[in-house]
Amino acid sequence: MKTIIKIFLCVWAVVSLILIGEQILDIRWQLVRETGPSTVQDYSGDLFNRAARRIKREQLLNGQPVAIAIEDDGLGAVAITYWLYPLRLIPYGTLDEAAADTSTQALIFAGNREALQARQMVFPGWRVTELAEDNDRVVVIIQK
Amino acid sequence: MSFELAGLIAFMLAFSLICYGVGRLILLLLFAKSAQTSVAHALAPVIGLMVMALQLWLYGLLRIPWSRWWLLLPWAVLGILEWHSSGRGLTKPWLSWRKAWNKFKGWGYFETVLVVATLILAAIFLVFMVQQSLVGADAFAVWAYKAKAFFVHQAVYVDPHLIDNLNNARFHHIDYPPLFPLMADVAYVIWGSVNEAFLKALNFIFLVSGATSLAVFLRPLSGRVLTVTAVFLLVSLPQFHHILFINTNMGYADYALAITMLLAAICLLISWGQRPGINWLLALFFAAMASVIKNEGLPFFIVVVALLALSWWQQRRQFKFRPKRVAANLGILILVALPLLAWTYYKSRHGIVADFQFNNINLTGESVLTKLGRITGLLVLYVKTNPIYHWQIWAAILGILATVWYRSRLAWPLLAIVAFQSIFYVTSFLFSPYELRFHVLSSADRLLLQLAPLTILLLAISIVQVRKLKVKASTTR
Repeated sequence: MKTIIKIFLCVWAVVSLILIGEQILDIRWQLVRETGPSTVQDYSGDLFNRAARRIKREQLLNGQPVAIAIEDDGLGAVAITYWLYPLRLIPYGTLDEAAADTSTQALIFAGNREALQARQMVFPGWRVTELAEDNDRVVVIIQK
Repeated sequence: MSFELAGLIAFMLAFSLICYGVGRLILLLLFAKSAQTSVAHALAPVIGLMVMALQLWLYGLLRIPWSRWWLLLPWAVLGILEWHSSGRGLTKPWLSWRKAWNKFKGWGYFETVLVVATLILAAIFLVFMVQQSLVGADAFAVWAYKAKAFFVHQAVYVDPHLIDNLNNARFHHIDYPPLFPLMADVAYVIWGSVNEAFLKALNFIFLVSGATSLAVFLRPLSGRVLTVTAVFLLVSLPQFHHILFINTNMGYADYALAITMLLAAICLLISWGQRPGINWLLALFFAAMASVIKNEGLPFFIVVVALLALSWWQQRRQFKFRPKRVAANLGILILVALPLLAWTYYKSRHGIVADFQFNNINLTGESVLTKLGRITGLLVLYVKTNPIYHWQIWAAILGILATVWYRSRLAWPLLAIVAFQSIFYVTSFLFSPYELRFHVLSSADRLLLQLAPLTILLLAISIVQVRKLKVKASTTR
């Protein structure tokens, strides 16, 4: 029994060594060399972080609750809620839902630019301020 | 490597040393000479981190500002006093480490390769834990969110609008205990602002403490090859990759819970059959801390308390029954359970309802047995379709067989913990408010992760001969 357990542990260790070795030999070292810490640079970090910083810096919301509509990724709403904390945000699934709420004073929209242009007609006369953009997405604040 | 990344890594190393220093100081102040064991040295970083997290919790209650000076000054003063009074301070560890280094002489290729690989992996993991992004709802809605909310409010705080809305409450898991975010806050406070890199990198301290504690515990019992192999497995298991190495959507606090349970189990085994002392208290402390890291730690705390009481009861003839000692032990139990009691009180006061409710047992209209059968079937399906867990299951089976075969007096308390914890995991799904298939299959990886370190320990000690137990107390010093 002892020998079986010792052999089992050794083989398990070798298998783990191979598996972790495979992972390390993957492209990941390149990530470290080229980008540095990406904690605030990934999709849910950088784009929303820049937008959140600008909202805070320019006091665009004056601390009032704001609706957010993230059309292309539900997690974006969670991310921007996190980055703008402690400002309270009311997540909506879509701009239509947010617009249907008459109490809405301001909206944060994240999605691709074409979708935004198509949707802007939902809010005639509202002021649109671009906060941040990356390759194919834009974060804007739409205010009454 | 960028300058920023190097700075964050340097901070994490310095932060680990601060935690180690505070942990050592606490052990020296409380236990004096009894704290001069290798195990106590290995446990010190996690003890320091957890006590500083509790310190922030207390500061929040007393409205003391969360600043690095308020946090560290008491420890600096106590450290200077301790240094002057006894001179033990931080010099002892260096002596022990030099001794440990000398023991490397005469090692075979297999052990050397595993030790070198373990050290390299620990370094790589540190870089990646700092460098990799936080992703997913578990980071932004649960752990990082809570850490940020606590930091902003300088107290354990749950936003009222989350409590009012059941969907929000469930999405943010507001009933999860606060210790893991508080530990992140210790790093934030010393750093001076919220820096999400430290939320994941916190696990580095658990990695180091877990690996070194396992090493110094197993070495006198199991021999060099077995010890090195077990420690390497603890560091390199694929179950841990998504916490230590690659981006993860879930499981930020599960590794910390798994290692805390391992540390409690090690202290329990050292104190097994002995007069209540430093390891008895540390087992109690770590088990209590597990209960405020995640809800799964609560049954663990209960089973550890029961086993410690059993161990004490078995030894009652050896020691004179002294009511004062019993009262003191009960007092200690209440003291270590205070954070759990405080969190329970906070939840009831603010109307925070747990996800898991007894009423949910009838949610699907199935009988308990049918539901249990379905849960077991789903867990088996998960393990069958994920080869990395085959090894863990075989390890558990071998550990059970060896414990029975050798009638291992050391392994059976651990077997009781693993069995109790596993039964709890399976039965807890009965009270889940979520769709069963989704819930079981989405949480099975984390439950198996929590049990992985205990499984490695069980397998390693199941073949330890009883005669070695008699010299255990002296060799672990």
